[in-house]
Amino acid sequence: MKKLSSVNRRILKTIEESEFTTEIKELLKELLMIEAQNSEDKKPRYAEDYDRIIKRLAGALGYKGDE
Amino acid sequence: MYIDYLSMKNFRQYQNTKIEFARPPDKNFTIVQGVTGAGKTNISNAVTWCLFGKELHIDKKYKGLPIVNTTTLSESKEHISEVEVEIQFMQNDGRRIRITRTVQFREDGGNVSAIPSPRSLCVMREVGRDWVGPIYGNDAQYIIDSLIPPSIEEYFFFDGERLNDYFKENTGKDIKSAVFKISQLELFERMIDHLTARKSELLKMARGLSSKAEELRDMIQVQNRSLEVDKEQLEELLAKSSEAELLEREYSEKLKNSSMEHIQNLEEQRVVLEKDLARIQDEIEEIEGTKLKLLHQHMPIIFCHDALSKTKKLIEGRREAGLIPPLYQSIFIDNLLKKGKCICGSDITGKDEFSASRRKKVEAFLEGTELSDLSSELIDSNIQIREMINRLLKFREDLIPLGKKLKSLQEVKEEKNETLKKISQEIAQSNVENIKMWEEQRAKYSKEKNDTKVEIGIKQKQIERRGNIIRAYTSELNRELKKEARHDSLLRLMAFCDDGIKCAQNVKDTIMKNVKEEIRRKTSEQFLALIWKKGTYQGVNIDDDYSISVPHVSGREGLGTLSAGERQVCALSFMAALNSVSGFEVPIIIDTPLARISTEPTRNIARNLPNYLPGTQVTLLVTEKEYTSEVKEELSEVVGKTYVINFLEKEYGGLAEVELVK
Repeated sequence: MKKLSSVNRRILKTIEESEFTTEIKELLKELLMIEAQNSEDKKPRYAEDYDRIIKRLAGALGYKGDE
Repeated sequence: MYIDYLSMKNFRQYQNTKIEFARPPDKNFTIVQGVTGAGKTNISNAVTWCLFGKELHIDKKYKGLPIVNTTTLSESKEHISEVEVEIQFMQNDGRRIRITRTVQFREDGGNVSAIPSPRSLCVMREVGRDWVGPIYGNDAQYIIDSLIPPSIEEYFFFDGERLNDYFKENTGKDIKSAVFKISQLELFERMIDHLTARKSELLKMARGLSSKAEELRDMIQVQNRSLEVDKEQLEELLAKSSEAELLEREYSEKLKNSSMEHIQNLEEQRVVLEKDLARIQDEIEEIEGTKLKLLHQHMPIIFCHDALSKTKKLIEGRREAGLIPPLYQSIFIDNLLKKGKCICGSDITGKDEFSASRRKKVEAFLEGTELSDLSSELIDSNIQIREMINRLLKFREDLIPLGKKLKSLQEVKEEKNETLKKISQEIAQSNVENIKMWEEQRAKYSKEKNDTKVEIGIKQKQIERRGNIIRAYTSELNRELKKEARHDSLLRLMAFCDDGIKCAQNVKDTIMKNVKEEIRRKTSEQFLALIWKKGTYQGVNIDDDYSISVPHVSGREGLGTLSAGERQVCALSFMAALNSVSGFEVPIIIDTPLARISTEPTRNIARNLPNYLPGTQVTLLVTEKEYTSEVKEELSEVVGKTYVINFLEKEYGGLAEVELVK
């Protein structure tokens, strides 16, 4: 949560209070943090961060990840 | 969070100055008073330079000049001078954070240049009783961005004098952008785009797909690429429309401020008429939407009306003839025949002549049961048919007033359009060359704006259609992939991305709706409290396209006719509303907040402003003319520190010092 201080509290509260699964909540918060850190970047180069987070959280749900 | 102190060394006219700020919650206002050009704006600039390395509002006098104090630099033997700005914040948890930006400047043959250093930006944080740091460079910037995201700084450190033009210079697109920035909804837009791209990439990298799956994947990718192009084109159209709207407004302003009173009046009338027309158009669209919804709901009944009426008549005829409800049902007769025994106890097995004769009589009852079997269903159906026909009657009752209202609105619209046309003709026929030219330009950009809006509508429909095509292909592809177990992981990962996209969209929509309504409500409340002409305006509205309107109590639009001071108050209310919904507790610095407002209204603003920024540290950079005895009196309860800037003109530029007076 400390790392998320650059994301509007209203957004974090709405995500927390939603009925989404824990993994989806984590996904949204982590991706928002990446976007907040790179908000000035016109052509984002953080695809690897996205893939890493998606696969880790999908893995937490028992997904196998890579083919 | 509030600012403890700001110290400036060799920053513009400040050689060595420290300002300690009033601390909330007891006293949250700091006043810095100075004549025009003394250095008020550069206090705000020192804050943004320290935090983000840039100045937000550079005065004409300083444009193109280095930030280093030229007197110090010229007096330095080595021709080197260091600029240092330091801010210490007190965070809500009671821990301090100190930010220092230092840059050395060298003068060489009349040219002044900065000496780059990776340690230019430094952050120190208080943890327990200790200070942690120094933290330099990107890590330091990251800490600062967490406190105040750079994308929203302009809504915390702003120039009050320019607020007067805020709604003149900004279109609905800009207002939407401000709302999106402050509530960080743009992060969602980027996230959704990037998640979609990653999902597409997952699919692209997948191996061992069937030929049909590969074909579908290729088609999805082609459509996705086209969708990207469509979105870019939509952005271009939105920018074009926004630009045309600004230019249209600029020429309208010129006409409104022309030296001819008659033209001024006509232009003011036109601004009001156009706003009225926009409101009428919204009403028309809303009614047409309701009509369409009603038609959709009732269409099946309308199509089947004849058949329903005939069926109703038929059933009622049978009922009147006593055929329904039935006297008996075929199942009852069938059971008697199966058992071979009548209800009177007689044998109807048909084994002998007597029994066969009776059996025939019983069998004869079956002939009349065909309709009777259906009759109970018919009774139920008749109830439903009657209900459907009644709904149709109600539908007509609902439709008639809507039609009438629509007709009357269309008439008013035509009438207003006719007046607009006349105004335009009258202005265009002016003998004054400038006025004719301004009107031509205004009409040109008005047409361009309207034409672009039509193109925007078409493009949005195209994007919607393409989205539907992609969804259909994706469903087909998913069905194809499900045929082989080895694609399970891929499917699940894609489904996870899809869930993420859907949930992100859901949160974004919820926040967008709530934030917009909250900003509208707060702007309206604050505007009505701050405005001095009580009972003149209904409030402030934010339309679907994020255009701001200020309806007069008579229902007419008033934004175009607000005075400079009223516009400033409106923008100030909007800024305060943006701040309160931002979720960031950042101190606010307003440069010349009351410059455009005459005496009596300033007292009202001074009285109400603290109520709308409760607990927020506010610094007002004011001129003597703004900080009147009335304003002082109204703010006396909340002002904790008051400073005066003493400015001294020197050979190589000015020097300023800040003196505490309270």
